[in-house]
Amino acid sequence: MQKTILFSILLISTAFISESAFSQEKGRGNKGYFKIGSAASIKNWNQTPDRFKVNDLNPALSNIGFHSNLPTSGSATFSLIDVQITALDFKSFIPEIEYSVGKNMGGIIASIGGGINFGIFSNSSIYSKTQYDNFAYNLNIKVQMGFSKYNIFGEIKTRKITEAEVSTFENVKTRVAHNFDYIFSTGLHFSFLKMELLGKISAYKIGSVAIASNEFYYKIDSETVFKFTGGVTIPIGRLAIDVKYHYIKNYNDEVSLYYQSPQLGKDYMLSSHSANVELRWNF
Amino acid sequence: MEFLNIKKMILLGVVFTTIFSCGEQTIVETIKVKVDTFISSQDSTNHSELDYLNLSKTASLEERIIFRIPTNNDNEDDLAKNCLDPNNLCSIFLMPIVLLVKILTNCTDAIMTAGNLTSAILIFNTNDSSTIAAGKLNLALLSKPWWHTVDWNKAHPFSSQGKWKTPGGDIDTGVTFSTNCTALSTGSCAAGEIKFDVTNYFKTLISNPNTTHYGAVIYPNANIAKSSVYSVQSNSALSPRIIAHYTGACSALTGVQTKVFYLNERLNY
Repeated sequence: MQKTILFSILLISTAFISESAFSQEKGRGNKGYFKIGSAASIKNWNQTPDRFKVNDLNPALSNIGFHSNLPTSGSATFSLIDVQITALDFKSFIPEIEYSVGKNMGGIIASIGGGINFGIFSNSSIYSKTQYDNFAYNLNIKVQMGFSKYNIFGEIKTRKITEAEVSTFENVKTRVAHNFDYIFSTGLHFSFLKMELLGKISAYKIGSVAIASNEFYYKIDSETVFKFTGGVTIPIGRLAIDVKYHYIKNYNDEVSLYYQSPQLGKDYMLSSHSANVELRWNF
Repeated sequence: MEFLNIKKMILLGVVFTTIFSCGEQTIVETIKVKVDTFISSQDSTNHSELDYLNLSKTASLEERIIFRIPTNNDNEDDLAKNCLDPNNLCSIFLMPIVLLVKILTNCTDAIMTAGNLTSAILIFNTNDSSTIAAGKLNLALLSKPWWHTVDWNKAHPFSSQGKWKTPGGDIDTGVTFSTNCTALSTGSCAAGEIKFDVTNYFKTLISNPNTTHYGAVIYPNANIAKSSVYSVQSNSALSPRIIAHYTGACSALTGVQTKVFYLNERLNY
């Protein structure tokens, strides 16, 4: 219910702002944008991990942040920063910061960067002291090649989710540890009318995971999961609406995924079908 | 006078022998079973922190006890190093001989041989004055690891592989035990006692160091009324335990030894 309300408010607000912004086509900024957004599960996994109900792991994610844009021409070195804070509820927040530097080399834009995300959960948050209460960092290399109507891109990213507590029973702590994940992505941005369409495929080679306490041990082997993303960005004056749909495929075990990729922010993989919508204000 | 001197000499001899030579003798060792819970065919609630365990079987309800004997060093730092690195092999379910010495004896030396173990009895006690008739309960080893939230349908919640193939617990049929209060190598069952002879199992563990131990299940093989049993959390002298009798030369021993192992006791070695 909370999810539906939040998502509805966002969509209505987006529609209202976009209607009034159609007349402001001129003067669109290109240095970056502020954003507010939301993400929601369209189709949940059938099972949930211990301690959680289905809705706990598919919250209406609300986020706010800003992003600096890549230059569209020239050969200057650039830097890019993306900051986002996702709210899972009123007690649970996930800041994500990504920074990269790169160079435009005659139509080929190459960049290298890194990022972090971590949980800020109050003690009464249902995510506190669970596998979601983790710190993760990543390094990535991205190459983008532009053509007249479209550009193609490829990205290699390695991610490490640090050790986290799963729960404590009988004074015995159970913890989860991850090997490095490797994410290979490729895709296409295509200009159509005034919109920009996105098609992207990502292969997540998720590292093996160990779950252990003084009384228990279980290992989840490494596996490769595919994520398909389709999206559209609609510019409306200085504003833009970005909508994306994500589909997860090729997972061995939907229950294991809750422990293999416990990321509730941008790399949200806790349901088989999910969507996110973002309202951007270009500056 | 001469009689008194002889008596003193005999006494001194006994003391000297006891303190310094400590030859072959029979020792009784008691430990509490470390982790226990019960599962119910009608209820998936976590029972691991309750101070009782239930056993029952009717047409509509069955309750079983699940427990395991400690198999690992209790040092969390070591555990983190060894098991929380996904690249490592984790030995947490392997029963090392050094731990068997800790569980079954008071000796500091590795005196444990299968021949030295004369008896090992697993004991549970009811806490509601009920008595379960001899032969009504089976003891069997489990074939996969289970977590605190184990229930009738799943051993652990970390993957779909955590589901029991057979609801109520997947049994390792490679090892068998006599039913409760039958074929005991030592003693018999008093009122309220549930005893299983586990001597041969421990002899096998001693002869085959680092054998996997995932735990065991106790389940009724016929309809029985509900019995409530002391759990480890009851912190009682009647909590689940193993009483071991063994013989062997052990220089530190001075007679019959008793040791009680509690849930939170660190079992470092």
